[in-house]
Amino acid sequence: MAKKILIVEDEKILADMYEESFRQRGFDVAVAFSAEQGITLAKREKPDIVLLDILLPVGSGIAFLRAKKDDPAIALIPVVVFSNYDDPETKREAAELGALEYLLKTSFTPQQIIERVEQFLSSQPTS
Amino acid sequence: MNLFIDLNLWTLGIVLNVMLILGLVVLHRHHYNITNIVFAFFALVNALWGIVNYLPFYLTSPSSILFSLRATLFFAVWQTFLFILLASVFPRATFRFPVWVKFGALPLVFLVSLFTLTQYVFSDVLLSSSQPPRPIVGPGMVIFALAAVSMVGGGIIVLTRKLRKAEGVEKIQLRYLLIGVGLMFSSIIGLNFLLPVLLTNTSLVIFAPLFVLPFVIATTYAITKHHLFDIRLIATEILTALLILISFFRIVFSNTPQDLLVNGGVFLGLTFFGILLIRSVLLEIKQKEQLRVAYAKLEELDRSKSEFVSIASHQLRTPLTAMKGYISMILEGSYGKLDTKQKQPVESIYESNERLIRLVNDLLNVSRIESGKVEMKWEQGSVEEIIKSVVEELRIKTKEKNVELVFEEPESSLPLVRVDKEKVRNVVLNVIDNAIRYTPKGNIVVNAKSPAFAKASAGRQMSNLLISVKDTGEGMTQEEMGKLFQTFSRGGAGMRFSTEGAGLGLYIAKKFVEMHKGRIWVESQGKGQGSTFYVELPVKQEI
Repeated sequence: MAKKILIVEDEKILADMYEESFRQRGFDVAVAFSAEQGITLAKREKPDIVLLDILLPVGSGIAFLRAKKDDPAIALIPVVVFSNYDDPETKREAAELGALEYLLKTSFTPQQIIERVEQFLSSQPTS
Repeated sequence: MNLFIDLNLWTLGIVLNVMLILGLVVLHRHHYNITNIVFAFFALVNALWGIVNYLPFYLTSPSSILFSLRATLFFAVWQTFLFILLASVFPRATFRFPVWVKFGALPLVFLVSLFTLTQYVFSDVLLSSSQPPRPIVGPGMVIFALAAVSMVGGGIIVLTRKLRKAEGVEKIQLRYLLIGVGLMFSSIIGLNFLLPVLLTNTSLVIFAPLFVLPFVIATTYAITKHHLFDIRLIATEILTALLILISFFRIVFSNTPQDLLVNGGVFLGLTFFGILLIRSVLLEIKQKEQLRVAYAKLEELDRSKSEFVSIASHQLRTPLTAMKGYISMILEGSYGKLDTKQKQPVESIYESNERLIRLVNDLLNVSRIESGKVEMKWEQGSVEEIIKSVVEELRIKTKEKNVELVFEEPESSLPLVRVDKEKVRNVVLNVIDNAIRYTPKGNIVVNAKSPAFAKASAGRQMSNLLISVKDTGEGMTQEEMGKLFQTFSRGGAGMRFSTEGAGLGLYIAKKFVEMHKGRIWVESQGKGQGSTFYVELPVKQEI
């Protein structure tokens, strides 16, 4: 069964690029452009993993993490923060709110991030 | 005896007034602050205790003397209870007293204090014309003693624990508070309680006001010098005014011309120095306020700068991410296979993009380093694995240049050490990348040695991990080596061999090595003789 990924990314050029890459790899992909939309999609689609940007137009990736943590329906979905916002305080906050990792976008090609996500998924316990 | 009574009356008067004024001023300053409230009550009870302790030396009827002796113990119970309360709440503004204190300890203290007014503690008093009044101790004294000593002991333990954990100004305030109450209670318990009760010696009881002085002096000092209760200015003014007033009254009550002269001199001196003191306190407070405002502005500017740098680098990185992503997808054949002729220019674009990404990373790192905002992520790491991964990554570059890059693996595995892996990787990458850039031909040999085998080229014995990167490149002069680890420095070779790099890599490498309490340096025999870079990291193994 194909793994499902939710990408929360407001930059369309990047959202399209990652969506295309993950689809080519056989993932089911949902894309949200804001934290609020991300929460809605997470509840509806119940993805296996979320790839989350931090600087979003309304709210932020941190707001998404808080809302997800408070909602039992989606609290256990693993999240990998994938952002170019390299701020130590934000990294700490994301870790405290349960993010698996905080990865810098410019350090990864799409292929490399796909491999990383697959690694995370294979290490997660199956429900 | 009369002289002592007079002297102690003056001392009692001063101590009482200071205690009451301190208590009132502290309470007035923040009357909703629990620490201030408890301190005010503590000061009040100390003053009342001082008065009743003194009364037996003035009263004549045995019943009133006995009552005032019992009242001394009554106030002593509340004195010690308020002390342990003060120790518990200091320096908090709010405090939730546990249920057991409100409904257990407080009623018990109330009962014990009432108990001290009965015949079971002081049953009677012995009066004599040649000696101070001597109370006869009853069987209930044990209860009073246990209660008082345990509350004083408890309060000192609480203050000592807080002192150990405190920092900065709070630590100093606690220290003075502890010294003051420590001296006060040890004098009171020793000379005002144990001596009369156990050895029936009441000769020092009259000096009781002096026993409170250490607390008064320590608190006053902490207030004026270290912002205890934050009432410096008004406390200084009031206490100075009080001293001047007392000295004025001494002029009025002078008996002889000599007394008048001395007291007049004291009055003038106190007035002059009092005014100087108040002015100096005012000036200091004003300067500290200006400093505080300037510091707050600087902090705000620093925060804005950090935020700007983070956001600016984020905005620069977004298009770079898109380019990196799509170019890599093109190279991987996501949009069709490229032939050799097409692949090479696309790879060049990819490389250029990677250079830009590294430049943005370096600029962000330099900004963070200079603001002191670099965070370390300490973990167990294998330096060997880090070097292998960097060598693997950079081997492609050396193949293009016909330079051989070799990692001479150590004879035995290097121990895992406590490092920030990302930063050590950055250091190794920058050093080897630098070597590649300035080596037109030949080889670059990377070496790493564990503490058992490490020996610096200068012949020193070390217990550190030593990484060396030796190249057959351009080499450097002493002058070039001296400037190498500064920002935007590329050395003379940089101008001829490479236009890449902004000269930040080695500066960042040096800072990261220093954050590991390590050393980085270079050695070269001169132009055309190659160079060897050394990175020394202390071995900090996890237990």
